[in-house]
Amino acid sequence: MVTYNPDDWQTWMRAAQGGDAGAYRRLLAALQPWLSAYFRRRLKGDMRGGDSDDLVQMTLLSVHEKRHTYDADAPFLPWIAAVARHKLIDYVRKHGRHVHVELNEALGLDDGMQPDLAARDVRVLLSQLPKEQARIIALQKIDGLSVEEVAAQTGRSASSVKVIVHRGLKRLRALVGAVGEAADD
Amino acid sequence: MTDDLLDKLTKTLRPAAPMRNSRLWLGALAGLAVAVAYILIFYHPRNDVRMLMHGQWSGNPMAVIKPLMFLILGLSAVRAVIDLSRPEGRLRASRLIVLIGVAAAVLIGLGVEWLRFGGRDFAAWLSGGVVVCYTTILCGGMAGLLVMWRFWLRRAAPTQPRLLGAMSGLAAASLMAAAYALHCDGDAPVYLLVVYGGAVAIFTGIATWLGGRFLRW
Repeated sequence: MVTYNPDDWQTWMRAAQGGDAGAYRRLLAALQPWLSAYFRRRLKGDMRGGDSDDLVQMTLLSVHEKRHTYDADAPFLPWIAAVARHKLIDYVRKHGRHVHVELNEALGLDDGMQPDLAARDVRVLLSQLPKEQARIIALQKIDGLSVEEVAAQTGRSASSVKVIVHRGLKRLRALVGAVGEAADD
Repeated sequence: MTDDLLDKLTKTLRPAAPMRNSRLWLGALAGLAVAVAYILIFYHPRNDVRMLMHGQWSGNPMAVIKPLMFLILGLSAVRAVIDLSRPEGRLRASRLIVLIGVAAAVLIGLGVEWLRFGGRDFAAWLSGGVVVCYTTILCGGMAGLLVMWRFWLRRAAPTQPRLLGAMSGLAAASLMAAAYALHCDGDAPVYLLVVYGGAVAIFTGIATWLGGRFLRW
C-alpha cells in the first residue's frame, strides 16, 4: 500500500489559501498520484484511455476553484475525498461509465484514509437507502454474515434477504450513475 | 498535460479567503434585522406585540410563540446551509428535528381545533391577510435568498445542490415569516399551516429547483 501524508497536504493547503504558490504546487503534485489511484480503483473494469487523467484534471481544477471551501481547522483528507467522489459521480453520470461500488472499507484504506473515514465512505453510500435495507446490506457485505445468519438476525427469510440485498445494490448503482460493476456477489 | 495544468493553476494562484461560518450567521441576523425593521415600520406590529414593546403582557402566548417558532426553524435551516455548503458536508438528522417539531405542533393544534370546532370556522380564519402574507414571505424570502447567493451560496461547493437550495429557501422564508409574524394576528393552526406553511413550502420548492440549477460545480 502506498503511504500518503495528509498532514503535509493540510499544511500545504493552508499555505495555498494564503497565496503560497510553492506550497500549492507541492500539494497539487502530491494529490495527482492519489487521485489517479482513487479513480482507477473505482473505475475498475470500465477504464478507458484517458478516463483517469480527465478525472484527475477535473478534480484539480475543482480544488483550485473551490479551495476556499476547505476549513483550515478540519482534516484535509475528508475534503479532498469528497471533492474526488463528487467529480467521479458527475463523470460517470455524463459518460455512462461503470463504477465499482465496493462495500468494503479496505477500498478507502488503500486510498490512505483512516478507518473512520473509509467507513464513512461506505456509510455515505448506505445512507442513500432505506434504513432496514441499509442494515441488511451492512450485515452481509460489511460484517460478513451469511444470508442465513442475516435472515436469522432480522427475522426474514433467506430469499427475502437476497432480494433486499440485490435491490439495494442495484439502487446504489443507479444512484452513482453506474450500470454494472458492483459487489453484488 | 497535467503538469501544464499544475503550472497554470500555480501561476494564477491568488489568496483565497476561506468561507467563515460567522459570515453567514452575521448575514442571516442582519437580514432578519432588516426584515423586522421593514415589517415594524411599514406594516406596524400587531397589538399584543406593541404591548410587549411597551412592557405589557396581553396574555396571548402566540404573540411570542409564532415568531419564535419561525425564528428557530430559520436558524436551524441556516445551520443546515452551513453543513451542506462544503464538499464533505452532510445534513444531520438533528437539523430536521426542528422542522418536524414545528410541523407536529401545528398539526396537533389543528387536530385539537378540529375536535373542538369541527372545522366550521376554518374558512373564516383563512379569510384575512392571506395574499399579503404570501406576497411578503415570497418576496422577502427571495430578497434574502439573493443576498445569501451573493455572499455565500455562489462560493459553496455542495455535493447535494438541491438539498442546499432547499435549506437556503427554508432559511430565507422562515426568517421572513418570523418577521412578518410580528405584524400578522392570524394565529389559528389552520392559518399557520395553510398560509405560513404554504408560503414557506412554495418558496422552499422554488429554492430547491434553483439549487439544482445554479449550485452545481
